[in-house]
Amino acid sequence: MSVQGLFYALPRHGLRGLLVEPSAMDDYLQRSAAQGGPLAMLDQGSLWQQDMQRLPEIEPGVAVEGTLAQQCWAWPADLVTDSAQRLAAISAAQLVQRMHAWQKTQDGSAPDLEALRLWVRRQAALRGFWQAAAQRRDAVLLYVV
Amino acid sequence: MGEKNPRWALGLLLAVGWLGAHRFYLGRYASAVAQLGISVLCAALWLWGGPLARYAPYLLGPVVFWLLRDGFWLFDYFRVEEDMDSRLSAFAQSQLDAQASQPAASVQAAAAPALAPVAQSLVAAAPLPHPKSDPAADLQADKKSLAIQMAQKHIGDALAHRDIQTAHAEADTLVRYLAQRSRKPQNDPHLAMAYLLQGMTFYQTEHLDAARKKLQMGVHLGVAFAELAQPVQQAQACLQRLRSPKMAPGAAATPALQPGQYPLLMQAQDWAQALALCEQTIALQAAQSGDLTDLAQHHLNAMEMAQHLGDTVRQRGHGQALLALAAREGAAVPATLRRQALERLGDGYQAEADHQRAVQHYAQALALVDVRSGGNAAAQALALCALLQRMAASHAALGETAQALQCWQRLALYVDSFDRLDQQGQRMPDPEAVSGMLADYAAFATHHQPTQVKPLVQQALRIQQRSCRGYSLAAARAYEVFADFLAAHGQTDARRSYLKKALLLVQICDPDNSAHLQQLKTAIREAA
Repeated sequence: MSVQGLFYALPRHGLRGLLVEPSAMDDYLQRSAAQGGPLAMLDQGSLWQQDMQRLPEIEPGVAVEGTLAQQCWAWPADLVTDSAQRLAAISAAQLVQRMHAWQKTQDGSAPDLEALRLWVRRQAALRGFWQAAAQRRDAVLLYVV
Repeated sequence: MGEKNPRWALGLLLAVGWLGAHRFYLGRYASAVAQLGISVLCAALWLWGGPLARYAPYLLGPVVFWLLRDGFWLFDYFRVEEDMDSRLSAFAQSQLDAQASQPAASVQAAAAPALAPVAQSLVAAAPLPHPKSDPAADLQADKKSLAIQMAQKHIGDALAHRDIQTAHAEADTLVRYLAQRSRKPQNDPHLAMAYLLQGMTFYQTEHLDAARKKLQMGVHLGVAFAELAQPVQQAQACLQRLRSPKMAPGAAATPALQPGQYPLLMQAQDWAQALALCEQTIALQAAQSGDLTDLAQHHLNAMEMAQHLGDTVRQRGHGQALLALAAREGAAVPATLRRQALERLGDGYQAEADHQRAVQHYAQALALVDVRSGGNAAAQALALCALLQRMAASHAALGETAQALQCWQRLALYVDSFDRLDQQGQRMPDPEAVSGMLADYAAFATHHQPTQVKPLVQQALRIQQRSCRGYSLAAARAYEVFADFLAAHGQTDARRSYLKKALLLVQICDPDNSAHLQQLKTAIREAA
């Protein structure tokens, strides 16, 4: 069974309702933005956990229970803004360093060029998503299915 | 359209209904031709359709269904007709009686609807398309005009007695009656007039959505008729007001007060205009010695608007006026209105730090709350708790700790009973407010009853957990209070953790309150 990490941006005022009534979350995520659903979505695939481990700038969110997801976390708009500011401050060198450090803890070897390229692309997408959400003052949801 | 005989219509339906004869008889030519067409097509397919003949039974079903439905329709049609006939006869007779018993000059006045003052400007001003001087003689010739006259009178009477349901029913009956007598609605000024009348009735009784629809229909149908120019113009003005509650400058100065107008402006938060109109309404009602409850309600609304405008003088003026109304001998101003006025007056004094007067007003308001009286006891108890909370705050500000504590303890008893209700699965009134009160009590207890702080905070959080899984500002406030309590006892680490919880809840529940967020972040940094 493949595990997929989906990031959603949603209006900051709508987050409380979903936290109070998490069973409504799944229906909500199925809707389009025009129908009052999430405003944006980013699929980080099965490597979402590695991304989150290598980006400690993203503060831990609120764990949401009672949804159909395997795991679900939410970040209110204010936390998204703070995290986006910290993410923006990371340099390319720091990213490569982190990748090396992470790979060492896994198998002791240095990461190959393709893995590095993939990692940079993925973190850029995540950073862009997070910053766009921060600009709109949106809340963010990580939904793992 | 001439008068139709129900027996003829029923006979035609039973004998040759499949040819649409009953519909031809009642003047429903378009649907009659459609009915005839389907039947003929069905027969033609059956007889000469060749291979297509197998489709004929598919047409038979709709024809039979339509005829069955027409049976019910005919019943309803003639029931409305007969009902209206008998009412029109009675109305015409009453008009003749009035004519015989009154001088000629007063006949017109008697025939004019005795409307409520505000309704008068709209409904009574709307002329009939063909006013009749002798309704009995013209009963058969122009029943539609007479029906409109009758409806105007009955609606006017109903509005004068504040019987909204009857007014709506009268307007609805008129529209139904005229709609079924109008073969071509666009050519019938009576139907247009009926819609305008219905729309204006809805408008006066503040059913604004329905008013908009009916007035639009009336204007659409009536704009083609010169004799309806005046009511159409009035309807257009009403529609304009409904579209833009913030009226054009100068409109507020017009003396033609429309009911529902200032509450609309209140909804639009145009407090200054709304207050001006509300005060005009009060002056008008006071001059006409109108219903005291209504007048008191207007004063209360005026207090709310003045509060939004920060005009304490006017707020107090209206509050005192309301209390003076209630003090009149035999005045039946509901205790709820008096209590709300006293509460608002107390709030005004509390905001100005005049706690002595605030306590006096709160005490008077408290005396008006009767938890054991009929109605919603839980809501009454909650109102009482809200008063006790404010009173405790004022006592505390005056340094009267014993009295403040007394208020809090009394409040806690009520909150315990709410909590028990909640635990038994019954609905607690406004759990957020209840938890807020407990948090405030805990804040007070931090200095005066330290042993009570933790249980109070726990109770507040438990209530929030049950009502909204703990995601509320009341829960945030409870955490903040507990953090302050811990700080007072030197437990800075624990304080920081509770402040973080409070911050997260504020971030979720009130994401735009940047001042509060900043204040919490600063407190967390300082606690580190």
